[in-house]
Amino acid sequence: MESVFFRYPGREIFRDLTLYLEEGEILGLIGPNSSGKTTLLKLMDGLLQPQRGKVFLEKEGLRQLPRPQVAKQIAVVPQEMEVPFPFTAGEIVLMGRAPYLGRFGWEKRKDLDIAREGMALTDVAGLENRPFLELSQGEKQRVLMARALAQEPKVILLDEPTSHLDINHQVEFNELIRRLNREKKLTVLNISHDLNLAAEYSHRIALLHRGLIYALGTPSTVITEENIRRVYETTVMVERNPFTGAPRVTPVGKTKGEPSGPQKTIHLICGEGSGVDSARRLLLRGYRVSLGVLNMGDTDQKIGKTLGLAMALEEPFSAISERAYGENQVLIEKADLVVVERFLVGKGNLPNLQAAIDALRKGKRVVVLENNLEYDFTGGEARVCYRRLKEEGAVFIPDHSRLLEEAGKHLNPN
Amino acid sequence: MIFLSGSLAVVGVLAISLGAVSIQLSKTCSILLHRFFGLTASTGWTARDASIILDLRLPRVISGALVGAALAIAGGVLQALLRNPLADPYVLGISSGAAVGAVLAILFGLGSTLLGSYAIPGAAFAGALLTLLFVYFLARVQGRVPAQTMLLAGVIVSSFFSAMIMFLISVTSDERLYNITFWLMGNLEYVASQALGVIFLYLLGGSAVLFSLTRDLNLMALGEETASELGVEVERVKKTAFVFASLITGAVVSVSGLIGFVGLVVPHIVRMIWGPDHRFLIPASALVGASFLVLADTVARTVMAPSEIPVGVVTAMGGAPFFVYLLRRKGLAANH
Repeated sequence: MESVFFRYPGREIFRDLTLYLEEGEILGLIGPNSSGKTTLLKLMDGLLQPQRGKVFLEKEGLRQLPRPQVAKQIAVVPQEMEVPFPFTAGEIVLMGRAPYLGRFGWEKRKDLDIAREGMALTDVAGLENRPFLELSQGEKQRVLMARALAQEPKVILLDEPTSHLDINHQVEFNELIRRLNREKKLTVLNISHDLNLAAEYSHRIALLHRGLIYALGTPSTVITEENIRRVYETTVMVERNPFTGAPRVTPVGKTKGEPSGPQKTIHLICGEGSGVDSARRLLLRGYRVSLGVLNMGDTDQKIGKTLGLAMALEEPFSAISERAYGENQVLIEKADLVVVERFLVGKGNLPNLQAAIDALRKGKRVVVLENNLEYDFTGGEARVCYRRLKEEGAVFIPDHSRLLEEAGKHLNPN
Repeated sequence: MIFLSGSLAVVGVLAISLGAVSIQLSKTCSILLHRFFGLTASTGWTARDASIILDLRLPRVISGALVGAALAIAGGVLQALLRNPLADPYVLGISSGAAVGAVLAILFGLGSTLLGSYAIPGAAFAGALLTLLFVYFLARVQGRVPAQTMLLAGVIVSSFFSAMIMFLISVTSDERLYNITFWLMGNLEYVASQALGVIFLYLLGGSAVLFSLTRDLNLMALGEETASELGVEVERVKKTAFVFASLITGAVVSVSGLIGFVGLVVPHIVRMIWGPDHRFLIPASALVGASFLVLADTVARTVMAPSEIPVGVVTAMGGAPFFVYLLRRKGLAANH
C-alpha cells in the first residue's frame, strides 16, 4: 500500500502511511493496542477503503478487483469468528473453496482433497465432523487456518492468530507458518502481541505507533529497548535468545521504583544469578535490596542494573579489590539485614564471605543459605569462613522458602 | 429432497380428501388423476364431489403450499442474513406494513369498489413494499446496510405499525372489525384462484433468485467480513436477498394475512435435522413449509367443521410447543 490515508468517522487512523509486503516474506506487525494494526490488515484485504491513497495487489488496485479474485490470492485468519449455526469444522474449511466455485457449484473431489490437505497441515483432520461451535479456542483457530489454506492464497494475513493458543500450539502454529512460507512461497503478514514470537519468526518487523510506521526492518533493528520504551511506554530488557539469536524481550515491569512496604533494606551477597530470585521476591514484598560484590557482566549484576538496585561492583573476571570491598561494606552498613546466597566460592570472591563475618562482628544480623561447598575452589578456606559465620551467630536456613519468614522475624520484631 | 417432495404430494392429497364433506381418499385420487392426467374413467363420483375437490379444496391446498413455502424460504434467508436463528419474515416489519395496508383498505371499504376482491391483497402488498423501502433507507448508513441496523429498523417500524393497527381497530366498531381481525389472524379462506397464479409467479421468480444465493448465504452466516474475505460481494448479496425475501413475503401475506411461526420454525427444524448448509436448507425449507401449512390448514378446516378456525391460530398453537420441545431437546443434548 502506498501513501494511505484512512479515518473512521471522527477518528483519524492513518496519515500518509506506506507499507510494502514483499513477496515471500514473513512480516511481523507489532504495536500497542489501538495503534491501528487490525485496521491496517482490513485495508490490505480491501475490507476497508482508504479515503486517499491506494492499496495494490501486485500491480493492480485492490479496489478494482472483484472479491472472488481477491479471495483467491489473499486469505485472512481472524482472531475469532462467531457462528450462529451448527456448521461442522469440515464445512467451515470447505467454505475456503468458495471463490473457486460457480454460483450453483458444489464442491468437487479436488476441492475436498484441498480442504483435507489443509486440515492435515493444521492438525485438525480428526475434527471434520465436529460442530465448529463445540471446538476449543485453539482448535477453532487451527480450523480457520485450514480454511485460509483451502483458499490456496499467495498472501495470508494473520490477526493475532496465536493469542488464544497455549504455548505448544503457539510454537506449532508459527512453525507451520514458517514451513508454508518456505515450501509454498506463502507471503505472510502476522499481527502479533507477542514480541518474542514475532522476533523469532519474522523476516522483517514493522512497529506501528499512532498510525505511523515507527520502525521497519530486521527484528534486531526494530526490537530495541529504546523503541519498545518509546512506543509501548514500558521498560524492557532486550537480550538474545541463546538458542536462535533472535532478540528476546523481557518486561521489567513495576518492580522497579519506590518501595511501598516495610522500608527496610536487605543486602544480598551473591553472584552467578544466585541472588535473582531472592531480590525479586524481596522487592515484591516492598523491601529495598542492594547487592555486592558482583563482577560486571555477572547475571546478578545485569538484572540488578535493570531493576535499578544499589550494587558494589568489580571489573569483569577480576578478584575483589580493596575498593570494591569497601563499597560493599558501605552498602552493608546501610542495610538492616544481610543475606549470604548460595554461590560458588573461589579465591576471587572469598572476600564476600569475609564481609559477612565482619558484618556479624559489627552487630548486623546475617542470614546464610546452607552451602555444602560441593565445589570448593579455595582449598578449604571457604569451609573455614562458613564455620566462622556459624560461630559468630549467623542464622542458617536450608533453602529460600524460609527467607521471607526470617527477614520478617528480624526486621519486624513485633 | 425427493423424499420431501413425496411427502408434500401425500400431504396435499390427504388434505384435499379431508374436509367438512367427507369424500373417500380413493375417490379423491381418481378425480385428481382424471382431471390432470386423464387416466381413470370419470365414473364413481358425482359432479358435486368433483366440484368440491377441484374448485374448493385444490386451490386452497395449493395456496397453503405456496404461502408455507414462501414464508419458510424467507425465514431461512433472513436467519442467515441477520445471523440470528430466531429471525423470521415478520421481523423486518413487512407483515405489519402489509397489515396496515389491508386494514386501511377494509376501513375505507375498498373491497366493494371497482377493484373488488383484489383491493385488499393489493393494498397489503403495497403496504409491504413501502415498508421494505422505508426500513431499507432507514437502515442505510453511508451506502451500506448493516444487518444489525436493518433488524433494529425493522423492529421499530414493526412496533410503530402495530400501534397504528391497534389505533385503527380501536376507532372501528361495526362488522368491518370482524373482517380486520380475521385477516390479522391469518387464513387461507379467501385466496382467489386467479390470485394464485400471480403469487405463484412471484414465488417462482423470487425463490429462483434466492436459491442462487444459497452458497453466499452460508458464507454470510459466518459474518459479513468473513464472507467478504472469502470472495462474496457482500452488499450486493445482502440487498438482493433482503429485497426478494421481502417480495415473496409481501406477496403471500397480502392474500393470507398474518400466519406466524412458519418462517421461524420450519428453517429451524430443517437445520436441526439436516444441518445448516443453505444450499439444502432453503429448498428443503420450502417443501417442509408447504407441507406444514397444508397440514395446519387441514386441521383448521376440519377440527371444528363445518366452521373454521384461522390457520394462523393453528400454526401458532401447534408450532410454539413443538418449537419449545425442539429447543429443550437440543439444550439437553448440548449439555451431555
